[in-house]
Amino acid sequence: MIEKLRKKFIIWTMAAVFALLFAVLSVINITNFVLVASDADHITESLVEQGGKFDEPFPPEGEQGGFFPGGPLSPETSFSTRYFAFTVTKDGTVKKIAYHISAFTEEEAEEIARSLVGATNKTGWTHKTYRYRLMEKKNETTVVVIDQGRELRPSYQVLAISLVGSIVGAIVVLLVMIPVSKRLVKPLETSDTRQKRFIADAAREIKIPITVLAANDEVSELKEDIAKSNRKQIKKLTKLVEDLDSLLVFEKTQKIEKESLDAAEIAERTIAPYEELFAQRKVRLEKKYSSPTLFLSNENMLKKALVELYENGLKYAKTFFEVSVSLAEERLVIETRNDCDSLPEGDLDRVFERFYRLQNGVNSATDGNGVGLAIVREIVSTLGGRYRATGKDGVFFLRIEL
Amino acid sequence: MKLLIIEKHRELLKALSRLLTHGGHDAEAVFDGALGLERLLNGAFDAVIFGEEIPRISAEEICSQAKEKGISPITISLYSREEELSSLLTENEFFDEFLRLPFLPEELLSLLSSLEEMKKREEESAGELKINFSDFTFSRGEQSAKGTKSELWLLSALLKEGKVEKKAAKEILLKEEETLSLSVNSVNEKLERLGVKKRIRETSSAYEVRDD
Repeated sequence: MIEKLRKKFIIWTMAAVFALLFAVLSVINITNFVLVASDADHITESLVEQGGKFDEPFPPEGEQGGFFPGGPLSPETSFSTRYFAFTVTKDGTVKKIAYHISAFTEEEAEEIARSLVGATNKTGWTHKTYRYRLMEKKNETTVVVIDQGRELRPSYQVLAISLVGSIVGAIVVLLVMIPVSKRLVKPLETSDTRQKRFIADAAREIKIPITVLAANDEVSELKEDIAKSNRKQIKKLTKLVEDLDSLLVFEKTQKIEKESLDAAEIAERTIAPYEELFAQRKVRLEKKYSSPTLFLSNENMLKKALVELYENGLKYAKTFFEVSVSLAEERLVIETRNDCDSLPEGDLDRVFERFYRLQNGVNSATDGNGVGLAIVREIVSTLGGRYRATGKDGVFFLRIEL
Repeated sequence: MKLLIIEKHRELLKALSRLLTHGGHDAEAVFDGALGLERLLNGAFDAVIFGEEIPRISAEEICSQAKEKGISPITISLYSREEELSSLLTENEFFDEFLRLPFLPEELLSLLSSLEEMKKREEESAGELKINFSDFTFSRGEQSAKGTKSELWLLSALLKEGKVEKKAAKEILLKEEETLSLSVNSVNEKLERLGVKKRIRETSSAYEVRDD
C-alpha cells in the first residue's frame, strides 16, 4: 500500500512538472512564433502599401526600434528584407515588381506568386519559412513574399533547446523524487508497519484466550443458554481473528497470479452455501449474471471478496439481497443491493474502513466485526479496482469494479 | 490415546489437557521443552501436541532427539500466524499436521483420531513414488520428504483417482481452500525435490495430478 502511495506520489508530481513545463514552453514558443509572424505581417503590409517595394525608408523615422520581436522594427529592415513581389492579372499575366531573394530563381518566384493568387487567406506561410500577403485590386493581385527563415531560426532553436531542457529537467526531477518520495512516505510506512504489527500481535494474543475459552466451554457444565451464548461469542471472536489474518495477508500481497476466470460461475459457486442461510432469514435472494463474464483475475481473491459481500448482505439485509455480476468496459462489475434499517443517505464509502461503523447503520449490528468490507477494499485495491458504497431510500448499494 | 502437550501458556496448557481428558484421552501437560523431551523419551506417548515457541528446547529439537531414539509419535504443531504456514509446510521435517489457533475443540479431537487412523494405513506406491503412512513421508528411492496428514491424503487420493473435488477435500480435511492450496504447493515442491515428474494442479473446482 505504501509502495503504491509512493508510486502515485511520483506519478502525480511528474504529471504536475510536465503540465507546468508544457504550459511555460507553450507560452514562450507560441508567443515567439506569433511575434515573428506579426513582424513579417508588418513588413508585408508596408510593402503592399508601397506598391511592392521599399521606395521610402521603412520603418519611418520615429517608429524605429528593432530588437524585441513584435516591437518597433529595425531601421535596417528595408535593406535586410529578402523578398519578391509580383502582380498577377486576372488573365494570368505576371509582372515583376521586386526581386530581392536568392533562394528562388525569378521563374520560380513568379510561379509561387501565381500559385498564391486565389488563396483563402490573404496572409500566411508558404514554403515553410516564407510569409506572403495578397493585395487585390480591380483586375490584378499584388503578391508579396518575404523570407523569414533567418528570423524563425532563433525561434526553432528556442523550441529545440527548451524541449531538451524540459526532458533533462523532468529526468532530474524524477531522479530527485525517487529518494525524496521514499523519505516523505517513511513516516507513513513506519506508522503502517506499526499498525500492522499491532494488529498481528493483537490477533495472535487473542487467539490463545479464544482457544482456552473454547476448550473450557467444551468441558464445563454450564446452563444451556449460557453455554450457547459463550459459543456464539467464541465463534464471533474466532471469525474476527480470521478476518484480521486475511486482512493482513491481503495487505501484504505483492505478487498476484491472475488467470482467466468465469466470474459468474465463481459467484454462483460461492453463493451456493448462503442460499439456505438467506432463506432461513426470510431474505429474498436475487442473482443476476450477465454473459459472458470471462475475466482475468485471482480466483482466491475474487472468491474472498464475494464471500465478504454475501456475509455483509446476510447480516444486514432486511427483506431482500440482490447480487449482479457483469462486464463493463473491460472491467468486472459486482453490485449488491439490500434494504436495511436506519441507513444514512449518500456516500457511505467509509464502511470500507477497518472497524468503521455507521451510527445506527448498515454495519452497526452486533453480528458484524467491521472487518469484512475492509477485506473487500484490500482485495479490490490489490487488484487495481474501485469500490463504492451508497445509501438511498433505505437501500444499501455496493459496487466493486475489478 | 496417550498424549503429551508441550505449551508455554499455562492457561492453554490446562485447557487443552482438560479438553483431551474430557475427550477420553490420557493427557499429560508440560510447559517447557526440556521437560517435554524428558517425558517423551520415557513415557510411550501416542501423540504430542507442540505449542509455539516452546522454552529451552524447540519442538524440532525434541522431535529430532526422539527420532534418534526410535520414538516417533503422532506430532501436531500449533501455530498462530497465518502467513507463516507456507514456510512451515515446505520446511517441515517433523510434524504430522499443523493446527491454527484458535481452533474449535472438535477440530483437535477429530484431527487426533484421523491421524491415528491414517498412521495405521498400509504403504501405498505409484511407480517410483511411495507413500509411507507410519511416519508420514513420501519417498522415491533413497530420498524421502516429510508430509502432513493433508498432504499425504491429497497425494494418495490423487494418485488413486487422478482428480479430487475441492469440496470433498475441504469437508474431509476440515481445511479452508487457501490452506489446501498451500499444501498443494508444498507437495509440488517436495515432489520436485525428489525428482518425481508428477505435479498437483488446481482447477476452479478440483485438484488433479498430472505429469510435469
